[in-house]
Amino acid sequence: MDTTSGPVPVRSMRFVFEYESGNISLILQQPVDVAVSGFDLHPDLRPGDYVEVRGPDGGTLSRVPVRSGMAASAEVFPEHAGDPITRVDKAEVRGAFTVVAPAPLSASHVAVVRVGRPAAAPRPGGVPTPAHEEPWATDLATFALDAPAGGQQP
Amino acid sequence: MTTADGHIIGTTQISGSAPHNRAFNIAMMGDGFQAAEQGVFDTACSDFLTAFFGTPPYDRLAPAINVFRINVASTGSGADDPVATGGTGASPNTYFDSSFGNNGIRRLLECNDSTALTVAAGQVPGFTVALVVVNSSVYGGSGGSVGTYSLAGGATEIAIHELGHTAYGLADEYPYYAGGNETGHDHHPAGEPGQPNVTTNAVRATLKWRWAVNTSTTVPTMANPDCSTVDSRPSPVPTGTVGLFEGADYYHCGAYRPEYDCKMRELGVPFCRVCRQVIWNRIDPLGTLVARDRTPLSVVARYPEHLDVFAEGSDGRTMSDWWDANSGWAGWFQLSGGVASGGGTGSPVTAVARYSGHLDVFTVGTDNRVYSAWWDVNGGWSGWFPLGTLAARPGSTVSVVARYSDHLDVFTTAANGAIMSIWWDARTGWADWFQVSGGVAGAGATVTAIARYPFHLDLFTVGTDHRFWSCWWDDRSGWAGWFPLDTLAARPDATVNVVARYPDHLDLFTTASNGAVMSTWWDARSGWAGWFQVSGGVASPGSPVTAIARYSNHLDLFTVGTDNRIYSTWWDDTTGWAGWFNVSGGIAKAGSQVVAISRVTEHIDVFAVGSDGIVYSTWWDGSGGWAGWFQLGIT
Repeated sequence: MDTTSGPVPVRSMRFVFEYESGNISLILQQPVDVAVSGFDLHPDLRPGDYVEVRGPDGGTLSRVPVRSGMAASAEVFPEHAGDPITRVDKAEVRGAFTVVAPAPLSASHVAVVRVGRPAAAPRPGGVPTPAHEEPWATDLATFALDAPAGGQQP
Repeated sequence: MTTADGHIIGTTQISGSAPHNRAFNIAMMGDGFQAAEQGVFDTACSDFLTAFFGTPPYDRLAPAINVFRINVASTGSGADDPVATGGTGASPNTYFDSSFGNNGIRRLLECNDSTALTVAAGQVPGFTVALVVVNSSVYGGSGGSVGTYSLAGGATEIAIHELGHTAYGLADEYPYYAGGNETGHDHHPAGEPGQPNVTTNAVRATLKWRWAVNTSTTVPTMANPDCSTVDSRPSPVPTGTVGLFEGADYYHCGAYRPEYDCKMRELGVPFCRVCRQVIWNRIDPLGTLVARDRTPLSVVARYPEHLDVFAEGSDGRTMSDWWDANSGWAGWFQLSGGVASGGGTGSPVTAVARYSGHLDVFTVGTDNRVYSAWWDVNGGWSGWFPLGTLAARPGSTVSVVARYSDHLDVFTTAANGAIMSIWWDARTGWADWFQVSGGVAGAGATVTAIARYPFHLDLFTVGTDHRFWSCWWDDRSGWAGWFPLDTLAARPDATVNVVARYPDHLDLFTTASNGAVMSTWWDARSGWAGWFQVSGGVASPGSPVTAIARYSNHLDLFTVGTDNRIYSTWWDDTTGWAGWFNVSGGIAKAGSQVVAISRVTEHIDVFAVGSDGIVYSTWWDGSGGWAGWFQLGIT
């Protein structure tokens, strides 16, 4: 193949957030040359916390999960093999987490979003019926992006 | 006890050679190591590499993993170790402010994760996960966004367990919160957890890891008889059996894990089969796809700014990649654990979008049954499920048409060549398979279907006599009989490609027995025309002709030529047929297929398996012409 040109990568941004007592702050937003895979890009809604990159109209441009953030408990690991891993409630819910998300030129805001679980039970198999139970989503915090840069695939 | 308590010495890549922007990058930082103790940290990093790459599936994913060592000199040595939690009372000044004794538990060792994440971002901008190694022989560690562990023996297991959470979203599989005697953790709350390795669903048919469960394995495999406590009985099945084991996600009952044991349940044991697959699914998409050479690709545009591409790996895995204008190419992933039949040229994955938030996909499995799966914007991918009990011809293609959004018509060939159909309707579900008007397809022939109207279907195939045949269905009259399309002799395994530029017109494209690219058309006013060769074109043996209509008066054709170059031509009603030309220097596997789609009228996306077996793509745009080919993977 003549591979003289290919798709121009979509710009990605790294975000580092701090949280403490329910308050979330954005402490770092940094363009980064990292491809975000479909494993982390969630066009479908599943329960959990997410970071959404949004356009000026508030529309979602990309959504990636927050996998280990804002936990109210901590794991305590056993020193001896065979002993149980346990959890304890944190005295203070504070810390930081990071994500990398695609942020195309039109991106203007980033939001931390919590998606809740729909009430319905799992759908039966065998019939490709579209799901009507839609998870709920709540914005926990929203921040403006500093400056646009980068490009898009033609 | 801040970043004033030390300085960053520098960063060294200690493992891997993958491109930093398409790799799983681990950033390792040391805390409580003074300048003279950096050798201890270096050794700890080496020990981690040994443990990490000795843990399946990381042993097979090393080519996509980079590990960086960030040397940081702290003013003091060690970590805070409060007397109140049984520690020594040490309180050294360290860069990441690591401390034992959090929450009153000595071995709960935590660092300042804001500092750790900021340093990692500065030193390794593309880092995926960050680990902090603390200079202490006291056992301890913690998880969260930064995995923290000490130099004590076995503490690397903490880091590997925590990567399971941080990088892949794996749930804890242990069936208790505080060791098993706690209250309030007898029954898991209702609702399905989002994590891939725990479930509240005990139904085999809809179990999210049913692809890994042997049909002979009982489901549930192990049920807890006393939900007031943890089920501590030994496993009733051999180690490594994937099933449904009750007790997971911090609850004694009501939640299940895939295997009896797993590193997400207990340190020192391997990851279970499901967790290994999830880890694989996160890292493997960073590469390209070596495809089954001649298995057709398929592509769907659910909306103009989105593409879903389906292919098969050289090992038969059903694979998909998708592109979105806002995020680029997502990387190849295995679709619901599927493996397709390798008969003939291999059974492709065919797909249809009944509406923009939904996909239905079909293939023939290794047991030669027809399978389907779906993706929905509100639920993600389903598992594969069989459509009835039809035994399909090994490697046959499953064609699908959505005449309207609540209906699917599916076609394939049975083991004896019979042309079979089944349909699904939102109101009634799946019907049974039936033979279409007694039709029998030639060996290797596919059935092509098109809906010119919501109440009309046209079918095409190559018969056992190597002639082209068609039949149609209309909701007023039902199925018509098969009739031949002139006397053209087809290549026995030829595929008919059909395009309806408008509802009363069909254009057919295929290859004759000598490889000539042939076409004919049907028009409601004039009926069927005769076959003609398109611009003198001859295709590589086995390569079909792909056609798309960007306008009602324009056609674009693609195929692989006898020199294995990828060719295109076009027809316009004002200028007629153009000559064939090589698309951007592209060379494909002999006998492979080129697939094309026009998601907007002045744009074409083209996909092919290159001569090196890798899936490539290029595009044409009305304003910029043809782009170069690129390896399809992640961007």
